[in-house]
Amino acid sequence: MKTIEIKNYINGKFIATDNFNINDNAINDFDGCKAKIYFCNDWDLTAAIETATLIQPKLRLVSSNMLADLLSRTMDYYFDNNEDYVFLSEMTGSPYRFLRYAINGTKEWVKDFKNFYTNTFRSVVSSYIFSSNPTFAILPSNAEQIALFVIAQSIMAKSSIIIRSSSRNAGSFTSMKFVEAWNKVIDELNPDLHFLKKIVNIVNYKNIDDLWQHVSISDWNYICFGSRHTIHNVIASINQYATPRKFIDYGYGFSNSIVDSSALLNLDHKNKEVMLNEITQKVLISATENTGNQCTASDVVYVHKDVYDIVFRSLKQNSVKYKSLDPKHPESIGIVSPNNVKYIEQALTELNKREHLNIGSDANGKKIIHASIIPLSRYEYASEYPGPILFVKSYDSESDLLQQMTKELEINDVLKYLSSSVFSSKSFFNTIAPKLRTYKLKYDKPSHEVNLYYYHQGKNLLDELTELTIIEEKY
Amino acid sequence: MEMEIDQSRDIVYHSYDIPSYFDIKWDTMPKDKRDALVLIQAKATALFAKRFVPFYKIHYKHISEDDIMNISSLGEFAFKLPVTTKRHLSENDAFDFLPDFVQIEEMINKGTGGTTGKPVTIYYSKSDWNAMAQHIARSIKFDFQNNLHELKGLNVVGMYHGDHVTNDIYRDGLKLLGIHVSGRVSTKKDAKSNYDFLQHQKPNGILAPPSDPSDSQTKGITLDEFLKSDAKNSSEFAYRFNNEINPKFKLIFWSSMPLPEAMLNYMQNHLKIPYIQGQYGSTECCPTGATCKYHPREFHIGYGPTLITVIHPTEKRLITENERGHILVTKTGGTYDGKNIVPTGTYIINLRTGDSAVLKNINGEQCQCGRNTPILTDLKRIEYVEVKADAGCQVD
Repeated sequence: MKTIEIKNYINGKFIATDNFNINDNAINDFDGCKAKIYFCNDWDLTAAIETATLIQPKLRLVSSNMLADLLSRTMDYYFDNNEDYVFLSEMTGSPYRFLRYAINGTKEWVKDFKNFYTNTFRSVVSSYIFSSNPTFAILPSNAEQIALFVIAQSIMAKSSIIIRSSSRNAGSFTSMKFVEAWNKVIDELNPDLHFLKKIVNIVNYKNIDDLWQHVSISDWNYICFGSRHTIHNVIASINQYATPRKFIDYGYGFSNSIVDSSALLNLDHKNKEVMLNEITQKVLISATENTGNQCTASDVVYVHKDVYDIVFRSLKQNSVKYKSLDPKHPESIGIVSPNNVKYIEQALTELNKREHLNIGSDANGKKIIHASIIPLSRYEYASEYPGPILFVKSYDSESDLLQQMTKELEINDVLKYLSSSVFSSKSFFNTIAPKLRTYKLKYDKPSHEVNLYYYHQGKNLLDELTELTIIEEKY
Repeated sequence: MEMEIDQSRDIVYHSYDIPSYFDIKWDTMPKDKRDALVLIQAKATALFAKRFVPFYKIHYKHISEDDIMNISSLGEFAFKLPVTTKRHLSENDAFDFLPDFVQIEEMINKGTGGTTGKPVTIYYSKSDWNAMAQHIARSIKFDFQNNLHELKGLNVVGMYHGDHVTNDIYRDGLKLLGIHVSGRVSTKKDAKSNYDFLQHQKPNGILAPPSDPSDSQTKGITLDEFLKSDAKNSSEFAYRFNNEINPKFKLIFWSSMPLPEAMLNYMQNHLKIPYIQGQYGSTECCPTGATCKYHPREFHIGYGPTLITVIHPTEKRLITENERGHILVTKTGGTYDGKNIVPTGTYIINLRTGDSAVLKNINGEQCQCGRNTPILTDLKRIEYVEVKADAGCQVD
C-alpha cells in the first residue's frame, strides 16, 4: 500500500519530523493509500512565523498581475492527476465526484483571478494595492477545496500565510499540493522570484489549545472556520496575547430551504407531480451533498401545511436514492466519519428522533448513515448535524414561518442562515425575500451550490486581506 | 612531581608550570598531565583551606595535612575529603568559608537569591574572579583560534537580571576577547520592552537563559522570549536575529537552563546563527563546562579555576565512561599578577551541587572540535531540588 507523506512546509522546505501519525485511511477500509502526517513543534511554528514575517515586505514589490498569472498557471499542475482525488476521497470520505467538481470549480475561479480581482476593486478608481500583514488560517474539516480558496486570495492580497489544517489533516494535503504546483510554476516561469516559494507555510501543529499563545500576533490577519462558540473562543484566546488586524470568521453553516404551497398549487396533477419531484430532489441534494457536511447544505426544510404531507412523503420516498456508499461510487453521498456517526446517533437519541435515522452498515460492519428525513413539531428546532440529516417542519403562514425561523436562529446562536432556498411562486418569493435573515437567498435553486464570485457569509476574503492606498490626483 | 607548600599565605602554582587559565593548552594537553596539574591545585586548595578557612578547619579536623599530601588521584580527592553540601553553605556564615586574612573590601559578592529561604553568599576575590573570566574567555577563544580578530569590537547584550552572576562574569570574560558586554538596562519584565531595547541597541549577540519548563526560575528575560519576539516582529526595518538578512548578528550565549533540541535546531538551521555557545556552571563556581560545535547541548569540562569530578551514586569511585553520577565541584584557583594561586574568596571543596550527569570521553580522546576533555551530558538535578526551590536560589 502506498504511503503519502503529509509534511510541514516551512521556509520553502518540506519538513518531516520524528512526531508523526499514520492514518490508515481515515474514514474507511478502502484499498488505497496511507497518510503519514508529520507534526511540528513550537520552534517549527516559530520558524514559520519568522518566515512569514520576513517575506511580507518583499511581496510589496510583486505586481498583482504577475501573481494572478502565477496562480493561473499553478492551476495547470494543481490536482492534475486522478490519484490525488482518489486519495483525498478515501482520506476524507467525501465523494470522489464531489471533490472533482468542487476542486475543479475552485481551480477555474482561480484561473480567472484577474477578473475576480478587478470586480472586487472596481469601485476603487485609483489606488495602490500593497501587502497588508501575514495571515494565519485554520482550515475547516468539511471542505477540502477551501485550502485553495484561502491560499489564492491571500496570495493575491500579498499576504504571506500560515496554514494549519483541521484535525483531519486533509487541508494540509490540499495545501501541500498547492505548494508543489506553485513552486513548479515559479521554477518554470520566474526563478528570480524564488522567494515567493516561502509565501505559504503549512504547519501540522497538533495541540490546538497551545496554538494561540504561539501564533497570536498583533496586526496579523486570522481566518477561522467554525461555530460561533468556536469563533468566540478563538477570538478570546488571540486577544489574550495580541490585537489582530482582522479576524475573518466563517461561522456556523446553518442553511435552510422553504417549500411554499404556491409552488405546487394551481398545477394540474401531472405538472404537480413533476414539480414536486423536482423540488424534493433539489432539497435532498442540498441536504446530502458531500455527506451533508457542506456549510451551505440545507439542515432544515420548512414546508407549508397545505402541501406538507405530499412533500414529506416525497422526501421520504426519494431519500432512499441518497446513499452512503464507497466514496468512489458515482452515486455516493460520501461516508460520514465514525466520530460524526457517533455524535449524530447520540444527539438524535437525546432528541427522541433516533428511529428516523437511516443507519446501515458497510461491508466491514461499520455504521454508516444514509439520507435521513426527520420530522419536527413546531416546538422542536433543527440544528446543524455533520451528516445527511434533513429536518422537516411545517408552517401555517408567512408570519408563522418567520417566527419559527427567528426562534431557530436564536436557539442556534447564529445571526443569519448561511443560505436559504425558496421554492414558491414568484410573488411569494418577492414578499418574503426582504424579511428573511440569510446571507444568500436562492430562488428555485438548491442551497448548497457556492458561487465563488459572490461574497461568502457577507465577506470577500480578498477585500478583507488587502490593504489599499487611495491615490487622488488633480483633475 | 613533588608538591611543596610553604607555610606562608602566598601559595602559588606557577613554579609547577601551570598554564594560564586563558591558555587553551588546558583543553588539549594529555589527560595524565592535566590530571596531575589539577591534583596539585586541588591538594593545595584543600591544604590551604585546612589551615586558614574556618569552616574547613573544623570540617577537616579528622584529616591530617599528610593525608591531604598523600592523595594520589582525583578519585581519592573526591572520597578522602568529606563533601561540602549546599546546606553547609546556607547554614553557616559566609565569612566561615573565607580565609582568615581576607580583605573583604576587595571582594565581589555574588549570592544566590534567598527570596523565600536562606540565601547563600559567595565572595569572589579579584584573583578568583579574574581566573573565572579567563576560563570563560578561553572556552570561546578555543573555537576562534585562528579568527580571534572576528570577535574584536562586537557588542553583546546580557539579558540576565541586573546583578546576576552570569552577566558579570561574561562581561569580564568576553572583555578579554575584545567583546563588549552591556547588561540589560530595563527593569521591566516583559519581553516586548526588552526586545525594544535590543532594537535600539542593535547588538551582535545576546546572552540569555533558555526558559525553565517549570516556569519557576526568574533569571532574566529568556532566550525563548527574545527569539519569539524576533520572529513575530513584523516591522520591515526591524533589527532581526536572522543571519541571512542581518549578518551582523553573530552570537548567542546561553546558560543556566538546558537548551531544548528543537530550539537549537531553530537557531542553527533556521536563523543560521554562526556561533551558539552554552556554559554549564553554578553561582558557587561560575563556569565549569562549555558546549562545542559537535556537542551543542553537552559540555566539555573546562579545567583550571574549577575542578569537576563525577562520583558513582553508591560506590566509592569516580564514574566510568557513559555512567551517570553525582557532580562535585571544587574551586581550585585564582590568578593574580600573572601567577596562578589558590582561591582567596569563598572556599568550595567537593561541593555536591545536586546535579547528576553522564560522563563521556573520559579517557581523553580528541573531540572533532580539538578538545580532549571529558563531556558532561544528560544533566539532571536530582538532589537539593527542594532546597533550591524553597530557598528560591539560582539553579544553575
